[in-house]
Amino acid sequence: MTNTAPTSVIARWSGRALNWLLNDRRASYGLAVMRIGYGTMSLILMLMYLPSLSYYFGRASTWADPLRAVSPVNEYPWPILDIFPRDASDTQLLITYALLGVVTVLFILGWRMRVVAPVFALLWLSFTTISPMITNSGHYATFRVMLIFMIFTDLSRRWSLDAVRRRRQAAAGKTPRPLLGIPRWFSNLTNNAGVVLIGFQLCTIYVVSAIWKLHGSTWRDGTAVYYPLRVDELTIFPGLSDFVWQLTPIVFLASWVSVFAQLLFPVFLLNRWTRISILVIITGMHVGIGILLALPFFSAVMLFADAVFIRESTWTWARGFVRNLWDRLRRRDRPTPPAEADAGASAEEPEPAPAPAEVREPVGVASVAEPATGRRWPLGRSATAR
Amino acid sequence: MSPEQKDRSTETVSRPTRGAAIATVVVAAVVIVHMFFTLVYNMPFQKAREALPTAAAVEYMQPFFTQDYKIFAPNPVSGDHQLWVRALVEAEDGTRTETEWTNATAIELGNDARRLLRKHLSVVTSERLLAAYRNLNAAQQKIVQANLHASRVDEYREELRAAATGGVATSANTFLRYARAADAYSTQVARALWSEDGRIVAVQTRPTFDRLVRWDDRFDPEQPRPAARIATIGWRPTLTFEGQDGDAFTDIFRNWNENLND
Repeated sequence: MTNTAPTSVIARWSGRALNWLLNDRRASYGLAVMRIGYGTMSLILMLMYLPSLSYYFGRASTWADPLRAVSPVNEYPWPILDIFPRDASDTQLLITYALLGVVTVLFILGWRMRVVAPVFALLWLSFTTISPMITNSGHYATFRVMLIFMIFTDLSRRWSLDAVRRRRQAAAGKTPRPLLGIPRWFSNLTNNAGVVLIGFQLCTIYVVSAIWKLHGSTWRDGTAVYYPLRVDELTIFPGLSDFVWQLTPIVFLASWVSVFAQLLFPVFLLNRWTRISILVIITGMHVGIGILLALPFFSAVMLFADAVFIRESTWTWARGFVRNLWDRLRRRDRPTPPAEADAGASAEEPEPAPAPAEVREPVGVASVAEPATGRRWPLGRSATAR
Repeated sequence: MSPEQKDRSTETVSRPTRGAAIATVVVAAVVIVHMFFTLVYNMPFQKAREALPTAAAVEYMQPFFTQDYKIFAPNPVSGDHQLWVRALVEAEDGTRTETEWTNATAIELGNDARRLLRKHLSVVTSERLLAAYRNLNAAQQKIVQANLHASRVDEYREELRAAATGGVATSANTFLRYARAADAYSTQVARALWSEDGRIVAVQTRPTFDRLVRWDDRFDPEQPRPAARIATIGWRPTLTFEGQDGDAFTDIFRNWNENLND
């Protein structure tokens, strides 16, 4: 059969899209960073709230009932509102809070994530219904949206207890069984849809907030950054903030770069070098916001999610680089014969670059299409995408 | 060959099963619908919002996907929101004393670690109460400014609603909601700070927006801050909701007050 050129192009692109969606689970390292980062952030927040838990979420905060009466969280379906009920005693709150803490630790460690991730999301959403004025606003809203997307992804393929278990199973020659008989292509598909939604959400946040800023005169004239630097609520290092707002060129530069880096974020992602540049600029911006504007958790929510834009090969390279560096430092400290040192390193964390056993298996669409023969059909002119 | 090209060259493209193809189309459709509604919901142009199915987008996004990305926009906050409280305290001998105005927000923010735990309840209350006050008409603001005796609470609410422009009581109801929270908060603050001096008879709350020195005057040390925006609200009877643990509030707030900037 002869394809016309447009059909061929469509076939090639749809083939690429299908391959991207069905043949592997994408952004595995980025998702691991999100899991560990978001989990750790939640745990830190919980520990910080703990000494004054009653003031923020317990019976000492009953005065805030009229504020809670108007919140979208009141529309959450059962059982979200019932796990952390607003009329619970402080003792009951503390017990449920401790349960959330334990689940958060399991979430960070990546243990049985197909179960723990939805349970963490459910508990977290429920927790955020107690005082939505705090936990359903600002960066918590982004955290919530990302968490919902993350449920659909494979969060424990890298740097997790699940990954360790799978490696051990593979080493013992056991083939992991798919959960509830769900075909691998389907979990690939949901993972990748989740990754797309996370990326889309980030782009939306950056572009929309940039356009809103362009509605304001202070962002356009370059003086915007001056004001938050002087707001008491947003100052954690007063000396540093005072120093920065007095540097007039820096205020202009920071204001304009903030707007245009966010506005052009999706465009800059399209090319490798502009992608690297924009991720460096955005990271710098978030570090600045975190330190100078006392908003480290907002910055962290965005930065951990930005990790999905870093390619797998970059993460693999970084992992190998850190491991080599670590090995070299260890050798310097304790000189050992090379063979022994290599053996030690490999036992600690084997297979830097290759995917785990399950991914090396023919999990692609073709193996699902024709399990008996494993036959693959080429799409377009070639069986290999270029 | 770049690593990216290398990766692509090893990708194997195959025709999916019918099930996989259908599932992909369904999932892609769901993702596209979600993206569309997200964009509509966040649309930063009013004319476009009017032309797009914004109501449907809001319906879809609530409650799980609600979000607001006016981050420091259109202009960043240009002042400090604070909630000030004072109380009328009756000593054992029956003498009544007005306390000094106390900045409850300064106590709440009085520790660097706590400062990171946004949003701050006193700031949220101040922000909302001040905005609700500014939405009242002049007649309503006058009603609010008067002192209120416990026996007149219901009457006061009705008066405030009746004074609404065009008979639409939304702004009055919004104010009453946030004022109730503020009265209950101030009661707790007063109890924590002054209950050792006697019985708390009444409280007064003052939400303020203390504006920063403007950009053009930033290097002028003589330049005072522009006049703060203040909502003048009269004295109110103490208000404690059922289930309020006053002792827990007192323990925490008193401790914060005693360890300011610790």
